[in-house]
Amino acid sequence: MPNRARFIVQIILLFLITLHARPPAAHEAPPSVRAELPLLTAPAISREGYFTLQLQSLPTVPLVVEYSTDPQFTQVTAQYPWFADFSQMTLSGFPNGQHYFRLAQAGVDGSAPNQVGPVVMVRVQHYPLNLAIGLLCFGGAMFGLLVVMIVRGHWSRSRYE
Amino acid sequence: MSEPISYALPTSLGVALIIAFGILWIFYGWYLGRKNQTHDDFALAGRQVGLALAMATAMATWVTSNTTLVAPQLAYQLGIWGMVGYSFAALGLILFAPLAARIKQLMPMGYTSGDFIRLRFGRAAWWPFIVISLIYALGWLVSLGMAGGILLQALTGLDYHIGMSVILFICVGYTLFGGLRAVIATDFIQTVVIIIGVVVTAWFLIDKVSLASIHQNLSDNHPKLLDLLFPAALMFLFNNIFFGLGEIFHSNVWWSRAQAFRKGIAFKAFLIGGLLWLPIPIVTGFIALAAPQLGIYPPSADMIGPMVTAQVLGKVGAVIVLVVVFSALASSLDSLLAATSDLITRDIYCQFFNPEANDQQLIRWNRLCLIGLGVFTWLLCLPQVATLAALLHFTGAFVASTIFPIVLGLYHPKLSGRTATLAMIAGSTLGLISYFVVGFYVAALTSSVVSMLVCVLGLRWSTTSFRWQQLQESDGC
Repeated sequence: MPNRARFIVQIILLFLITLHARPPAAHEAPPSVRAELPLLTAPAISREGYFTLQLQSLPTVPLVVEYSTDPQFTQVTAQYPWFADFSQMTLSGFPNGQHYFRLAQAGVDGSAPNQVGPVVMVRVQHYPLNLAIGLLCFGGAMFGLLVVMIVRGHWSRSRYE
Repeated sequence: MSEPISYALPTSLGVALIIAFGILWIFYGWYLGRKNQTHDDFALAGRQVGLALAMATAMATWVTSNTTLVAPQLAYQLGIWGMVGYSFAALGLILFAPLAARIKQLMPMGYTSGDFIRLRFGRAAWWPFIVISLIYALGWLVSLGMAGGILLQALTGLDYHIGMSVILFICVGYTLFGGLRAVIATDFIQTVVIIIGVVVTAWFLIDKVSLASIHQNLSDNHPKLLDLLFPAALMFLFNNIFFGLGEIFHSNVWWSRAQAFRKGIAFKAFLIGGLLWLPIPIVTGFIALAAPQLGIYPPSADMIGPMVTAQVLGKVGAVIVLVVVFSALASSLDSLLAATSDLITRDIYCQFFNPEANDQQLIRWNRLCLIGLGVFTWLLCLPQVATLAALLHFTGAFVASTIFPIVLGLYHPKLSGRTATLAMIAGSTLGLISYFVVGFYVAALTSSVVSMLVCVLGLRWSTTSFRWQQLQESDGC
């Protein structure tokens, strides 16, 4: 067999090996046994209204993150289902204030969670609006200047040529 | 919740699709590469690219992991302004149109952006420029490699490292065989795939998830995403525009295209390519806003686009996303590999090691650089150190410092090499400081402001006047 053909066959075989690669456990059915919830952690402060919640160990059962604006969780404002067996979740679009989260084991067929974890708090404090608008105006002025520079250069060179 | 959310495609199907496409691209690259006789053919497609291919390659190269993965990420993080602001990156292509015409006019037989900087400003300016170019090229290459791994992981659960390795291998493979000719030809096909895929996805999404319900959900649970006075998003807006301008104005990806296009079409190609690109981030970004309505909360924000599409459209949607994003990744990765290896060959090998190199030596070096870049990128991709947006915006501090030296260098004979050097160094330094002290929102803006101030002051006190004919003088190879 010529060397080039052998090389191509070897590369194809190398690729075929990847077909046997094992994905994370997402395709496997989760164990139905009651398991210890992983520990949830969160950044103390966010200036942009988005942040990432982390698990200290990989999940082995279906999980949800419960959200409330009240540390006692007298009312659960929202539930965020945990995606597959990843160790983190990114949430966004939160206004200024203190936001509380806790991990819960997802209830079967929509029933209430039968196990909840400790509460973590994220304080969202957006950048001052004045600063943002100032930067926007400054950026706009700079951009206008650049456009004028390019258009003038293009026209004057075209005319000259 | 009754069932865990899991992956949209079986791993074997995802990998099989990627391999099938990969074999197709590599074969096509080899087929096209047979016509390459000289280094001009390999690096600049013989300088005879027509309008249709030129426009398609301009657009396809700019539709990258940025557009298909980062635009949804920014919409998910920064809401309406993240999505709209991202589409303003089209201004980079549109404003490069007159610059491309000027480049072709000043250097009809030029090769790289490094050539221009060296001939126009001298070696002192060339050093910071080449460092900036290589940092940017590596940042972009790593982000593309990472995007490949993230894409396959989000859709199929395939380990990030395997997905990233497969995609890098395929892109290095066909660029190695076909050079810029293969890159531009595959870009054309990839553009068609991207446009059809994005339109089909948007059509199905609007059909299946109503705008009213998305709006209601965001208003109730994620109000900042709809807020037009969202501070971080406002800060991001012009920073992103200057980042995009810096990326395009300095990068040899775009300069090599300006050189490869047939005479007289560069202006039209970049202008039309930019206008066609404009709506794409709006469509890809919009789908991220449907995520909360669908109960999708991604592990990492850059996974949101593929996850939403796969959830809404099922397996067919996942296949569409896989093909579209893979096409987008490939079209950028190959362009960047080709342009960066060309930059290293022309600006480093040719200038320092072998000024008398012939065509065959240049092509061999170009191919060695391609392989080396592929391996180096693979090594840097392994740890997955940051999200795509964070990684890309880090390079913004560097590239934005080149905007004013390049624009003024192309049009204003009084800008001196010393001023350009100082502008790039000071801009990059202060841009980096602002990146770490304030945040990624201000890095590119700070860098360009500082660079502009240095250029304006330099022009004010300049006593030199550059002769444009010097740009056509050859100094090696």
